[in-house]
Amino acid sequence: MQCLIVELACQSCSFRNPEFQNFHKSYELPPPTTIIGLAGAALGLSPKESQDYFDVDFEFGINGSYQGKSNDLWKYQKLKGKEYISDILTREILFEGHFYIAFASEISSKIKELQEALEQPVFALTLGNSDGMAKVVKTSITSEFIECTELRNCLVEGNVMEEILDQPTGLEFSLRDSVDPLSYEIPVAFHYDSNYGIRKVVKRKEFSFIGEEAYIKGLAKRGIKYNDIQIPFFKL
Amino acid sequence: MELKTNSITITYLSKVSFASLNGADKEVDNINPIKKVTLANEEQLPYVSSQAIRRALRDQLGSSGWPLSKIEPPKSPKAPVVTSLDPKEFIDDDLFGFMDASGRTNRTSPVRVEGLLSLSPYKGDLDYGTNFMGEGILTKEGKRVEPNIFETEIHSGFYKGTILIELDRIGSGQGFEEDGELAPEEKTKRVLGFLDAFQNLWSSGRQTRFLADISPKFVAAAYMKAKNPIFLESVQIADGNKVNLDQLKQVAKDYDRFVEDYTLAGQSAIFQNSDEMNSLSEGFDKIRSWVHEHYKA
Repeated sequence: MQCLIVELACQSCSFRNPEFQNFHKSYELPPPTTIIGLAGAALGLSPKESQDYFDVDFEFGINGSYQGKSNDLWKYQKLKGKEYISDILTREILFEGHFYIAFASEISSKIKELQEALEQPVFALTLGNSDGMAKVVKTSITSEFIECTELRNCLVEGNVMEEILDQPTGLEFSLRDSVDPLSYEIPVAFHYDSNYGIRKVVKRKEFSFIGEEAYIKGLAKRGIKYNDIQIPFFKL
Repeated sequence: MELKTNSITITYLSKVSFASLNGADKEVDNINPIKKVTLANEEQLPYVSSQAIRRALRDQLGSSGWPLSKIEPPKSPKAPVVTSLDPKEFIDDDLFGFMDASGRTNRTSPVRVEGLLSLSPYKGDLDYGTNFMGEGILTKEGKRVEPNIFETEIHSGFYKGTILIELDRIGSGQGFEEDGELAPEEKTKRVLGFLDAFQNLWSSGRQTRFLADISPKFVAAAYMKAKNPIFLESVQIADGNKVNLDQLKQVAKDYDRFVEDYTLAGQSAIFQNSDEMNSLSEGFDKIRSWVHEHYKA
């Protein structure tokens, strides 16, 4: 098995939590659909083709952080009867983000193909917003895997709160005092009626966002270590 | 694999002397706030959203004489309004893209526009104003109209933004399937028109009282064989209004495999180390030469 790690920097990004409507709240890390979309854009694939490309054979990892946050007021036009009117919505935007994305596969040719695509993307890469440009800082390939036992600023498959409650001894952790939940059930697979057509959620999976001011030590997850950062894997 | 040039990336600095650039949602009556990022240390950095920059660029293109796409009703009742969806006819549908949710057609913008983020924090400055529009006028009840007082958040400093032009997608691809792509001459014309709009960028909000020039005063631009905004987070200002040129040269060197050419250019009136960089005029001439080179027959 080989693993491609891509290091990304961005000035602004937003990862919409679909459970919110007029206020578009952002996850603190890119969810799985965002990294599939990013890789698909690099490969020049449609949303449907991107999903098909990663449907099997891949494991993923996400680690990262950001420096600031804003509630961005958006104004848009909509049709009411026969008149256009303005309306507003608020979108949460993260600033000065830095992320590490891992793609692991037994098929080394796919890993190589993906690396080349990320270094020379067909479409400019973005994180969330179509203008949230992502700079590819570095790509590298490794075959060295570890048990990640220190989880910080990363996406973890499942509900880590339940795992902590199941085995409270032997763990060291801090979970921030926040109204936001730690775990979300996230859409991970869709039915598309065409390459760029309407999509409907066909599968959801629970993930935990270990974000700012939170960490868990002692909970073992298979993954990689890169630049002293542990990136646990997950499957879709 | 042979690498081919396909894009231009530009990270730039605008200098704002005294402005209220991008209005935020009000939290307090009679105070007009500006959009700000809150950092972990509670500092706040003003910013101009990418939406606002796109709007300013589009308006500037219109001011330069380019016909612009119109807002059209959607094809189905529940869909949002759309533009003309005609990238062949309209430069803004070409450069800025579109989406028709009902027809399920879209064009991903080949021009990526990051917002402008201040390099210095907001210090709480407010401009105090009074609206005297009703002075001397009586209401229906015969009472004198009172003036309204208000305050506006203002900020001064350098702002950093990035633009990436996907040259290989201008005038081609999504939306051009039926009519065929534009001729190289037209592609050149459109990108040059965009560069002119960018070089003369003008914010469209609150100009009556705050003349805000957000045109670039420094550009770090590269003609690229990969669509990567290599200078995105790298442009910084040191004491004495000096741009960190050595670090930017190192960035270009780090991405040497993908950089066909680059320029670091700025205005001597603003930057103390302008003798170490090209003039802004020379910088934009270099960028224009890349456009001509890319689309030459």
